[in-house]
Amino acid sequence: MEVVFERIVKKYGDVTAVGGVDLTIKSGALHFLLGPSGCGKTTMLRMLAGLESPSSGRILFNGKDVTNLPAAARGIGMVFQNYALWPHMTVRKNIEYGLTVQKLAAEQIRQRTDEALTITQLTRYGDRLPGQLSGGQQQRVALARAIAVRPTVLLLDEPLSNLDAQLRLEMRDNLSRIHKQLGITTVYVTHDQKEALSMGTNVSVFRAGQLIQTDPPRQLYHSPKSAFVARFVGETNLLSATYLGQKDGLHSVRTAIGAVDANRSMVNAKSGDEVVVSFRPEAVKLNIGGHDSPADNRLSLKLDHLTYLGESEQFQLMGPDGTLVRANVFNPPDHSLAIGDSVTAWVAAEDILVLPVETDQPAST
Amino acid sequence: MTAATGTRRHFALTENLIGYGTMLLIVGVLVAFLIAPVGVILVKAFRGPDGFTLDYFRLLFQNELHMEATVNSLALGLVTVIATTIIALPLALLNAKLEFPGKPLLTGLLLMPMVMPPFVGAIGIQRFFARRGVVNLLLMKIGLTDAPIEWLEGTRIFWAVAILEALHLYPILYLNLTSALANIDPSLDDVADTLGVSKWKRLKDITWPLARPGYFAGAIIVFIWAFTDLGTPLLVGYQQALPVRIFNMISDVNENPMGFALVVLVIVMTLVVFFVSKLALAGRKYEMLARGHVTNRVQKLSFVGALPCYLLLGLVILLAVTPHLSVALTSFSDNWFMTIVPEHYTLEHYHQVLATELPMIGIKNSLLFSGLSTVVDLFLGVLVAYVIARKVVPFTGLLEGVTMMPLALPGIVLAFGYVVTFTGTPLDPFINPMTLLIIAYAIRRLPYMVRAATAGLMQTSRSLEEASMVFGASRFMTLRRITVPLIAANLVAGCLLCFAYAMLDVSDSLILAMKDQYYPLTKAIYALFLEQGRGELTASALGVLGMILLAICLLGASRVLGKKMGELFRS
Repeated sequence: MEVVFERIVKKYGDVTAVGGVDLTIKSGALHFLLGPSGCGKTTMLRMLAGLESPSSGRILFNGKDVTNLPAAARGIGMVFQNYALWPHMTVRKNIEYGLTVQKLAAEQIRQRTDEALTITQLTRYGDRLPGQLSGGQQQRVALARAIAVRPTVLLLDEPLSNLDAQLRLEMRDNLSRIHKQLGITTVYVTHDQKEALSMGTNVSVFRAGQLIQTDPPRQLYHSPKSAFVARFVGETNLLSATYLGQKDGLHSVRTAIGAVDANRSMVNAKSGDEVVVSFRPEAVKLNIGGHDSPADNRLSLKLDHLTYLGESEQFQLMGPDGTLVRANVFNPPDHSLAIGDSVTAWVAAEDILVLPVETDQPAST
Repeated sequence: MTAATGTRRHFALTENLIGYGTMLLIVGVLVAFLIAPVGVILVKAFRGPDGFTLDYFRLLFQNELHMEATVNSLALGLVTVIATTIIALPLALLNAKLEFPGKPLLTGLLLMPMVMPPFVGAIGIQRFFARRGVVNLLLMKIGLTDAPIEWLEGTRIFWAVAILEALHLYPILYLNLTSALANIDPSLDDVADTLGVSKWKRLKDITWPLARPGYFAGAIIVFIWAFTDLGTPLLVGYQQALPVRIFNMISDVNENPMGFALVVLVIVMTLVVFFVSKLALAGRKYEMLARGHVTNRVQKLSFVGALPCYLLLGLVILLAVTPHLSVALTSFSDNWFMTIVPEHYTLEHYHQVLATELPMIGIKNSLLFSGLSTVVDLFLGVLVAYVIARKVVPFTGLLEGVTMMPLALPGIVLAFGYVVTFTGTPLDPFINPMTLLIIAYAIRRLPYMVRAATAGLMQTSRSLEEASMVFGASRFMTLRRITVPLIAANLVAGCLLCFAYAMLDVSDSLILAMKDQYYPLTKAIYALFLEQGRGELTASALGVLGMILLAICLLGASRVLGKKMGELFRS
């Protein structure tokens, strides 16, 4: 089922939670709504569920306007952040409830419930009460309950946020597997960019009630269209710069720590314009352990701080004016650098992106 | 845009039906049976033969007897608040800070007075303090006095009533204080400890300011209750109390407008007390921040170390049950006369209860009226609580305020209002008071039901209901299958409380039931008590039966609600 949001606005009194969003969720996709808390992503999901009504705009299911359809009539399945398992019903009763509402035959209810229990590997727990289950099991019951009704759209509201790190990784795989198996159009709300990157077919990034960018994970990470997305999806170095001009397909910019050439630009700038350059810490190479650098895009910096993590080492480098650059070196070589030592860093032109200057800084990054 | 607005209205239709429907229903019921009766009193109090007049008030303020009664009742309220504070404060602190063997049983027994209607106790205290009563006989026996003391004469009768009120009402304050203290994050005390603050200073600067809102919430109820209680002074025979004066004016209320002025005076004074205390507390309610793992630090005492606690608790419990113990003794006594305890016992008076008509009518009526009023409360209470807790309509604060009004409205005022408003209508209490009694019981106990249900809803995550609606269930089905089962415990507790307090009701029952055949339990006890000869004995037996019934209800309620029970008795 294809879901379309058309110029959706949601206001609570004077506060605008969602400010005019257009978004298409493709049929069968695992579509992520990603953003920091308070960005409007949960409000979007609740409007899609029919738990909130938009202040203006339309929501279409396969072209049919469902904006005014109550939640009960939309045929959706939803996993709530706190799971919302009914504590007075057993696991089986929880799953059956939605099917009873649909007035299915007893035999069919039993069969669908069994199916849902099997797919979520809960067969042994049907007679337990939710309170007798672990967090991960509760999460699976919530999922089983949502898929048992054969929903047209499956909605997941931060489904993994209450689990510990290990379980979260496990459940990610689980969710991906179930999504592939059932092929239900799924909308997944999260603030965890790793969940979005690792599982999503498409990811929509929200900020302060606005949809900033929708793209498949690779494209989103590789070609963010704004400094906000670059920073929110993965880690990045953002440096203020002045645009110098274009030459041989490369964009030249001057930063406080030197001039660099960038392969790609997301902004139509002319010479003298203020811009921002972005490059990922893992794209920064250092002249340590015998490596040497090519001549271009070299930056002369001093070591400010370093964190050794085993599989990688994080370097924080500082330019003469105090500009900080982070470098993430995988499989780090042995070295004897001390704080304050000079380091030469370089970044390949294809790893540098020219972005427009952010108009307003968000309160938190 | 207009299309979107129109359809949005359609979208929220079911929501609005419940929300605004409840609002209309509640406001309608409360206007008809709460606001209108009070309004009628107000109008009649200010309307003479030639329109607006203050004559009745002028006459009232010139009437020494009425003024004396007003002062007496205010004093009664104040003395009762002071006395209950003296009893309840140490008990609540003891409950919060100390742990000792047998504590649950003893602190549970502390609540017994709540199940013992004070006006039944009044029967007992009369026998106790009579000229040839237990106290005088005891005093003469141990040689403290030669001649019997007239305990219930002159000003001493005021103190008798005050003591009875205090012994009945201290649990309300105790429960309020206990839940207020339980709400204080123990880490706040810990912080004071690390800063080297002394125990006394900690109590004064940290514990008391935080518990104060809870204290005042309970104290207002105690004051209003003692100030407007009809049953106790009536049965002790304290004619100089304001509620008793009003009661005596009911029969000729339609001829003598002085009664209206007197009731208006009660309303005004109640409101003044209520708002002054609210004003004094405005902005003083503290939210507990970051309440992590709450493990109350209690000091554990051994059996021997706890002896002072046992002594204190034992004394309070003994004092509290004395009047009712006396009633119980009376109910089993055979020819109890001139001895400290009865010499012979009999079940004759209970036989009498079962054999005579009036007690059985009383029991039957009370069960019926209280039962029906509880059903009304359950229905209205769940709806109101749902609308309030789920904020279905924008002005839930108003709804809550209106619903809680009966807590501050004295029973005599409402009953008085019913008599003057509905005389001559199909609901005429002089003809058949049943409907009015059920409504009066229901309205005055509605706050308990609403609170019990709201508390349950607040603890139930809203997403549990949303989940149900997402899966296609209607709002009504969600309410029936998900919400009500989840808050069932609270509803049962609320019902038990409503039922128990309707059974115990004095002012509505005494004032509204005018014919024998409609007498509820309490009025039957009163009528028997007034009878010459054996009446007092049968009244005692009936009173004991009533107390047993109430005890069962309230024990059930407190089992279900636990510590939260205290929060039901707040203003």
